[in-house]
Amino acid sequence: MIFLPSKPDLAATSATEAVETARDERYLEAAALYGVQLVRMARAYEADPSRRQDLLQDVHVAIWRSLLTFDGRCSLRTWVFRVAHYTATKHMLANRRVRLHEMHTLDDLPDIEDERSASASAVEADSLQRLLTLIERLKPLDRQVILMYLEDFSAEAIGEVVGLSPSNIATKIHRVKKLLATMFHERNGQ
Amino acid sequence: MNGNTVWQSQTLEVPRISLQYVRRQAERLNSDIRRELRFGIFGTVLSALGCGFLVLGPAPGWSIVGVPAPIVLVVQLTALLSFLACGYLTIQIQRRGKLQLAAEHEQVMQSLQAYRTALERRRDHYASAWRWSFWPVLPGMIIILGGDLLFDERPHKWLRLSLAALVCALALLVGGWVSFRKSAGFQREIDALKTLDQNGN
Repeated sequence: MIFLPSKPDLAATSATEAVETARDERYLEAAALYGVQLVRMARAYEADPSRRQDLLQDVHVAIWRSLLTFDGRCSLRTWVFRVAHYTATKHMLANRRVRLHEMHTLDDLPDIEDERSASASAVEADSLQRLLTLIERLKPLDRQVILMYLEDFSAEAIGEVVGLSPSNIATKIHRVKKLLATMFHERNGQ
Repeated sequence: MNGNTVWQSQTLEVPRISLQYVRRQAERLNSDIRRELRFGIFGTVLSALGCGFLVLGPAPGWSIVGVPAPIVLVVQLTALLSFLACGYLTIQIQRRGKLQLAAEHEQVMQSLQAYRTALERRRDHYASAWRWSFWPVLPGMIIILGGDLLFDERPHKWLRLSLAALVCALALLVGGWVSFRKSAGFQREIDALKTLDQNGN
């Protein structure tokens, strides 16, 4: 006796395949569009290169998994960065719990030490290092805000990702701008 | 030069992560749930074999070791109850694991809030583990201890009974302690999270 799959089964299978294909396509689109930004984000969350690689892979896996429930109510970029920051925060909490007390908010951040290099050619690398040092000292929420600000996200987009009110975001961005202006004014004026 | 320029102009190697790799890694996630389920299935199969041997085994086997008939009944009943308890626990592990996975798909709302929700769900899972895993094993324990108390006529009955009761109590305590420790670990992480984002909301 030959058993043939019934029509509803075939329909269900093709529907599942369609959903899976759509997810794969979205993932590939997201990886192509935001891959570089995700690498930069991973660098801000994890200093160790091999663990950073693990984090980046976790981020990609989390994005792929989450895209099954992506319904288009927010932009793909907002969705991708929500998942990415969520995964990175998880990674940070899992690996750096002992140092949580050393982290600061944007408001209580102590002055960054001036580590200006004498070499003019090292200015850019030094600036980046100072920026990374600043980011590493921030608590997750403020870290998310500053990273997205540095990636040219609008205040509204940052609010969508981190889930804070526009007024809260405006206050934080004001503080970020002030910090960066101080840091880079010093740098440019040296 | 400003912060945005410095940040975006950093030279970084973008590793190639293939779709196949991502799919394979995603399958490996939630391995803890699958491991618990494997333990449950293994326990159920083992207890089924033990139960089959003790309940359906040939009667002469019992006569060789000289076990009185009531004790045989107690042992068989205990084996049967242990099998049922293992089966029940395995079903519970599978059901609760499925619920957790389903909920994780829905939780991508706000990053920190989502993480907190996931932690709370896992904490509650382990905090309530004793409620759904304790009572299924209780009947078996009562039967074996009660049966021993009533029908065992061999010497040093109380010593053996006390030891058996101690082993049962220890097993329950260790199970409860492991669940409590896991639950407390998740609670500590939730507390750490509260201190982390207290400025944001």
